This record gives sequence, C-alpha cells and structure tokens, in this order.
Amino acid sequence: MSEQTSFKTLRDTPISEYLTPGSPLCGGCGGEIIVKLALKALGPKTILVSVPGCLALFELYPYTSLKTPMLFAPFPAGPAAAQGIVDGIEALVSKGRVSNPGVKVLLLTGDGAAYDIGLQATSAAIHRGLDFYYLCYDNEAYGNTGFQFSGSTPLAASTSTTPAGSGLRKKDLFEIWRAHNPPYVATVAASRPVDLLRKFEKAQRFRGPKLFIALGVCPTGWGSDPALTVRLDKLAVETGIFPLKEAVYGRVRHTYIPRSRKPVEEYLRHQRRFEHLFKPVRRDDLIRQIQEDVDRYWENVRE
Amino acid sequence: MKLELRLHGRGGQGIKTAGRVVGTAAFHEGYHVQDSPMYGPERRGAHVSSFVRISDEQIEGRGYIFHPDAVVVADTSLLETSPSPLQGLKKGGAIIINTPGGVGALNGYRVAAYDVSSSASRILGRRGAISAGVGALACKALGVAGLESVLEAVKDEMHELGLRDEVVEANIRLAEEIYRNAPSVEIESTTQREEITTAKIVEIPYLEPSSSTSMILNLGNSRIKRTGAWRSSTPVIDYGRCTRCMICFIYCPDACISLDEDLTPRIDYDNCKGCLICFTECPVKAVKAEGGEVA
Repeated sequence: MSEQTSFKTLRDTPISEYLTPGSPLCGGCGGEIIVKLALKALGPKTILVSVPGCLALFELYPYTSLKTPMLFAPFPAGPAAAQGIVDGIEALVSKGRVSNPGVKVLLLTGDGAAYDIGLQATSAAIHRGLDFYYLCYDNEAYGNTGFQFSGSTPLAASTSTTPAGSGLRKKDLFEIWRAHNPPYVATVAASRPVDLLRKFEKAQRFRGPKLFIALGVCPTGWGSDPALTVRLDKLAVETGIFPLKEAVYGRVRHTYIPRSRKPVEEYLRHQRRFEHLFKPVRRDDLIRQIQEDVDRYWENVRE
Repeated sequence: MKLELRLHGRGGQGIKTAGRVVGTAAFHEGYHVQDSPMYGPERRGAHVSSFVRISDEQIEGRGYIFHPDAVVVADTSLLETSPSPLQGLKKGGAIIINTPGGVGALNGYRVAAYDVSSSASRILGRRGAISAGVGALACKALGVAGLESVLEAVKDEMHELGLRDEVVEANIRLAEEIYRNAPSVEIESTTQREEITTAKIVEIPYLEPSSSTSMILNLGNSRIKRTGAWRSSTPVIDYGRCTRCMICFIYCPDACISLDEDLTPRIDYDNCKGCLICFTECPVKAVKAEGGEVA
C-alpha cells in the first residue's frame, strides 16, 4: 500500500513503553500485548477508560501498571464515561484553561462489554459521533469472572456456562459497528504488530469514533499454554478465523489475506476449550462446520 | 470439635477445589461444614486462598477466616510472600505443607509435610493441579475424615469439574496414596489468641464516599509488586546469539523486557511471570528456559 506510515517493519516499533511490569494479569495474556502496542502508537497523551473486565486490573488499588491515567466506569457505561472526558476537555479548552491539549481518549473493554452489556451505549456514542478510540480485546467469554459464555463465544467453544460447547455462533461486532458508519473500524492481532501500529496510526487522521477489535488470546480461559499465546494468535490469522481488515467510512479492505489458509483444526487443537472436538471421539461434523463458516467468509472477500 | 482451616496456593493448583474436597469429606463424616474460596483475581500463578469451617455443632461464622487453627500451604515459595499464609494462625495451630523436604517445625508451629507435587507428577503426569492430593493431605493430617469419605469427596468434586473418567480415577489414586502415607499433626489449642506474624494487612479507616473513592495518584507503580514470584520457569537470554531483533521486547505482555540503547534486551526478573512467550518466539533460539517444566 502506498499509504504514508512511520511503521514499515518491526524495527519501527516505538521503544517507549506505557505499561509497567507487575500487573495482576495472567502470565501470557494476549490482551495485554495488544494494549501495550496500541499505546505505543497512540502515545503518552492518552486517557484510558475501562469497565469491568480483565484489563481493568491494570489498575488494582493501590497499584497501576499504566503510565497514563485511567478512569474506571460501570459495565454498560464505558462510552458514556468516555464522552464525559471528551466533553470535559472541550469545556477546559472553551474556557481557555488549556490550549491544544491533543489528548486521545481510549476506551478499553472486553468482549462482554463490547458485544453484550455495553452495546447500547456504544451504539449511541457512535451515533453521536463521539471523538474517541474504542479497543475491544476479545477473548470470547467473560474471562475475569470465570470464563462464562458471552455474545462473542464461537461455535463449539466450551465455557463454564457451556461446558459441552456453545451451540451458537459469534456475533459479528465488526459489521454491527460498521453499520453505524463510523469513520474507522479495524481488527488487529498481536502477532502482526506492524499492521496493528499502522491501524492505530491511520485512525488518528479521523475525527469521530475509531473502533478496534483485537483477538485477546486467553491462556487461562482457553486452556492454552501461555508460551503459545503469540503462536495461537498467528494461527487464528493464518487459518482465516480472525480476519485482519479495516473499514474507512464503511468501505472494507482486508489488510492481510492468508494465501493458503491453514485448516482450522491447527488452531483448535491447542486449546482445552475445543478439546471435546478431538476426544474421546473426533467430532468431524463440528470441525467441518467451523471450517465451512471460515471458507464461506473468505469466498466473499475480494483482493 | 471446631476447626477453621485456611488453604493457600497458587492459581491453577486447585486450591478452591482442595477446600471443597476437605469440606465434602468432613460432611460425609457427619460434621457441619462450610467452605468457600476467596473471591478475587484468581490468576494462574497468583496467591489464591480458600476457607473451610468444620464443626460438630451448627456453624454461626461467615466470611473469610482471619485466625485459622490450621493453614495448608500448597507452594512453599508463598511463605516468603507478603501477606504471609501464616498470618493470623493461632498459637498451637498447625501448618500442613506440600514440600519435598521434611520440616520439623516452622515459626514454632507444628508441621505435617508431604511431597504432594512429586506424587502428582508420578500419578497424574503433571505437578500443577493437585487439589485432590492437597485435600487428602489436609484430611489425613487433621484427622477430619476417614479414607472412604475422602475418596468419595474427591470423586464427587472431580466429576463436578467435568473431568474425564480416567483423570478422576487418577486423582482418586493420588488421594489414596497420600492419605495412606501422609503424617498427622495435633492442634494444641483452638482458644488461644493469634500470634502476629510478619506483615499486616493494611487497614483502611472509614471515610466519606467523596474522599474514599479509590484513586491512584501514581503512574506505573505496579513494578514494586514483584510478580516474579509467579514464575515457575525462567527465560534467560544468551547474548552471544541474540540478534537484537526486538521480537521478545514487542511480545512480552508485561513489558518486562526493556531495551538498552543498542537494542540489547534486559529482563526484569523481579516481575517476569515466566509465560515464556519470549522463549517460543525468539527466531534464533537465543532465549533459554531454566527450571520447571517447559511445554
């Protein structure tokens, strides 16, 4: 692509770090990598808003793992709290108390808030054209409370409330958000940091809602080896299960199209939440169904 | 009898389930029983505790147990953390501990020690989830339940977790082996006042809501929490092979790897949780994993 970017290779990853070690998050947390990289692109003048979810634990009184401020809001009210901060800054500017603050507001929620509990407030915030960033780290269940089923849990995944595997398909949040016609919606993955940095860089050109969905590989909830977090993330992208794309004012473009998609099985096999697809008896019917969903998605994708 | 028991371990060891095994086993013996886990961030590797009350009368108490008659410590490294698992343990109380070495006494308390992890490693093929073993050890050491009740409790609780039959069977074998071989320990008194051990939990006085909203007036201070104690294996960089490619720095979730000016990576061992993403992702295999098992 001929777009201007300061992120061409991994080497361009900013050295500055806005997270500090010692967070109470699980070892090998995929969501944490996403936030770490996103903040590198957004820079130090970022105010975070969080709602109940694993990553709200960046702040666990009296400690914080962030070098930027964070406000903690009730579960359904993340976008409303973000609106409050944006309005507050605007008020300070109009009163002449600050000039050109250049502050970015980043709302950080899990899939529970993004897909279910906070969907209404998000819809309203996009509708109002709120100038903010929204990052949903999607670990496909309510991870912080013991991994219960959410609107994002994929077909056949075992959670503590769907122990035999979910019978429902994941909601398509990208399309739900895109239907509101915001200036920028994108999906990002930890295993493709350059793509992630570029998208957060590109989003800064737009005024209004800038929305991101990131796959948050969850060793604790998915039952995967923490050391394989980035590997799994890579497999999600290479099998086509997690497509990397962006939509500028509704126009979708895939930023990475896996040339020969790996079979979904390679991704499923490393996770205890899909263990029941392989033993005691192999469930070819379900594996095939998951594969067909992925194939059908990509059939409609044009380069 | 009136017994208050507190169990400590690391997230992933099955401390909540171990408490349930003890509770259920004592229930099968005919006692009044209450068991509950501490609600909080039960993260893999983090300090996790659960509570059991056993009595031959109706139990009036509720909530956390601050002054237990006995504590179970499933991971010895927790003894060096603060607050200590021994905090509030009554004088004359007992410590039940999972350790390979024999321990006579600890801080003046009587100790029942058994190497649950090694038995688990042999019977289950893993050292991690040892709830059945820890539960059986506690029941034997304190004499709160007989073998039959313990095995029945293990079977119930393991089935409730949705484990496969062969895994449940292995856990029953583990519980039986430990129950047959573990030592017992006498509790001297359950009425004396507690002895104050090392650190104290900070007590926060009541304040008006306007001033008591928890606000952290600091940035990035979590470094002093030293999550390095969560680690079971340690990544070590071979600087001779390292090509300064930045990949470990980019993928370390906790920002525990920082770069020198010449891009040489440095690991913050005080906080590294040992997830070993750097070990898996290093393209030239310059990161070695030392100690503990590596998948």
